[in-house]
Amino acid sequence: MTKITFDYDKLQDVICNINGYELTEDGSIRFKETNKWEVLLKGEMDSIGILFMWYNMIFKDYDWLIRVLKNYFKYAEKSRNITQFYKGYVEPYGLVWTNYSRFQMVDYNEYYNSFKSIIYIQKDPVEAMQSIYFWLNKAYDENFVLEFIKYHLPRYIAHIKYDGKYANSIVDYDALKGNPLVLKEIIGYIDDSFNEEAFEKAFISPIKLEYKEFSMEAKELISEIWRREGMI
Amino acid sequence: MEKGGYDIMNNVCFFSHPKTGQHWILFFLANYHRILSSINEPISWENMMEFGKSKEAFTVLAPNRKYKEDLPHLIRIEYPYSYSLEIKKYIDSFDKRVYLYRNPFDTMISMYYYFIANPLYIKQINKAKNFEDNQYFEDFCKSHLMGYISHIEVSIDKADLVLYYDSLKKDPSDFKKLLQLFYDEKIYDQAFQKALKWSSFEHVNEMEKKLKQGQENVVFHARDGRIGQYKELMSLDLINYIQDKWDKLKERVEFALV
Repeated sequence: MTKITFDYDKLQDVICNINGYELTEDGSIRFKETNKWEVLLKGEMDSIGILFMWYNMIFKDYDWLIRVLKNYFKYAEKSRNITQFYKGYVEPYGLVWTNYSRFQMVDYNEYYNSFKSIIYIQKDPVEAMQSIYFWLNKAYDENFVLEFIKYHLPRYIAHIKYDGKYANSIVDYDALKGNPLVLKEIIGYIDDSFNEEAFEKAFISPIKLEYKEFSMEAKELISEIWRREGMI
Repeated sequence: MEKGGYDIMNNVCFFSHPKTGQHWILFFLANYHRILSSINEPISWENMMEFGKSKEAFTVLAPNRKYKEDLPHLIRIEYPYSYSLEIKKYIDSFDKRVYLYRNPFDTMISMYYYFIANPLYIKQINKAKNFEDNQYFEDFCKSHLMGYISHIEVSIDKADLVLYYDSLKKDPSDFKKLLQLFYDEKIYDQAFQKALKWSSFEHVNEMEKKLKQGQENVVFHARDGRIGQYKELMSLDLINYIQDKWDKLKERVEFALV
C-alpha cells in the first residue's frame, strides 16, 4: 500500500495564502479569520492528500460516493476528513472533492498541486451529458438538447483532457459503481490498513438515476464531438 | 420624442464570453447615453462595475433621468445561448440580442491575466506568476479555448447584431449599429466622438487605478485592450493549435467569422 507523505514546505506556501489559513510552528493549521484559532490539523501528516475531480456530476452521484467513503472511515473507527472544495471553503487535508478546474483560479492550481494524489473521475459522455442536462433543466426539449450538447460536451472534454492530465489516475465512474475493488484501491490511498469489514458495511449500491434517455440523434452528436476532439 | 432627445426602441440583451471586451462596449454605451442626457462627466468606475457584480440585470445609469422607463434597458450576461433552457428563454425574451467576440488568441491572454497573472494576485501569493510555467500556460489556454469556441458556436447565429472587438478597436464605426438598436434618432456625431474618448482604455485604466490605489487583494479588470499581445507570449505551436481550432469552428458555423 502506498503511504502518503506530504511536502510540508509546499503546504505552508499554499495554505498560508488561501482563505485565511496558516501553518504554525508546531505543525498545526489554524484558521485565521475566527479568533478562536481553531486547530485544524496536528501531528501525523501522512494521511493528507487525495483530491477527487470531476465535471459537474449531479448531486445524487456525489452523495453515494461520499457517503460510502465517510461511512467506511466511521465504521473503521479512523478519523479522516472528507470535505468538498466549494466556493473558496478549503479543508487542506484528508480527502477533498471538487468539480472546479485548476484553470479557473491561481489559488486552485496551487492548492491542487499540494495534494499527493489526484483522482479524476470520468463518466461516459452520454451519461455525463444526460446527468448535466437534467441537472440544469427541468423539461426535456429534443431540439434544444443538440445545442446544449454542442456547448457542454467540449467543456467536459476540456476538463477531462487538461485537468485529467494532472491526475495520478483516472477512474471511470461506472467502474466505481459496479466494482467495489476500485473503491477499495482509492480508500487504500488514505488508509494503509484496509478494513474489509468496515468496507462491506459501508458499501451500498448506488441509486439508479432515472431520467429520459437522449435520442439517437443526440447520442450520435455526442459520438461525433467525442471523435472530433480525439477522445476515441 | 422624450425631453432628453431620444426615444427608446428596444430592450437589449448583450451576451458574450468573459474577457472579450464587454466593459469597454458598456462604458461607451453608458457614456453616450449620459452625454445625450446632458451629464458632463463619464460614468464612474464604481457604477460600471455593477455590471460585474450581477449577471442578472443592469440598467445603464443616468442619474438625472427621473424614470427608469426612460433609460435604455440593457442586460449583460456571460452565459452562452444554450447553457440551459432557462437562459435560452431569458435571452429570447429580449427585443434584440447583441453578441460580442474577439480573436481567440488575445481572449486567452486576457483570461490568463485576469485569472492567473493579475499583478495583484502576484503580490498576494508573493510569487512570479507570469509565463514561466509554459506547460501550465498552454494547458490553461487549451482548456479555456474549448469553452470559448463552443460559446461562440451556440450563440453567434442567435444574435441580431454581432460585434467583433478587433474591428471595433480599429474602426469604432460599428458602435453606431449598436446605438441604432437603442435610439430611433440619428447618431449625434459630437456625442459619439466624446463618448469614445471618455471610454478609451487609457481613461478606464486610470479610473480603476485611482480607485484601487492602496487596496490589497483586489483584481484589476482593465489592462490595455491591445490586439496582438499573444504574439509576444504564445509559442508558435500554441498559436497553430488555436488557429486550427478556430478554422474548424469557421467550418461549423454559418456566420462569417473573421
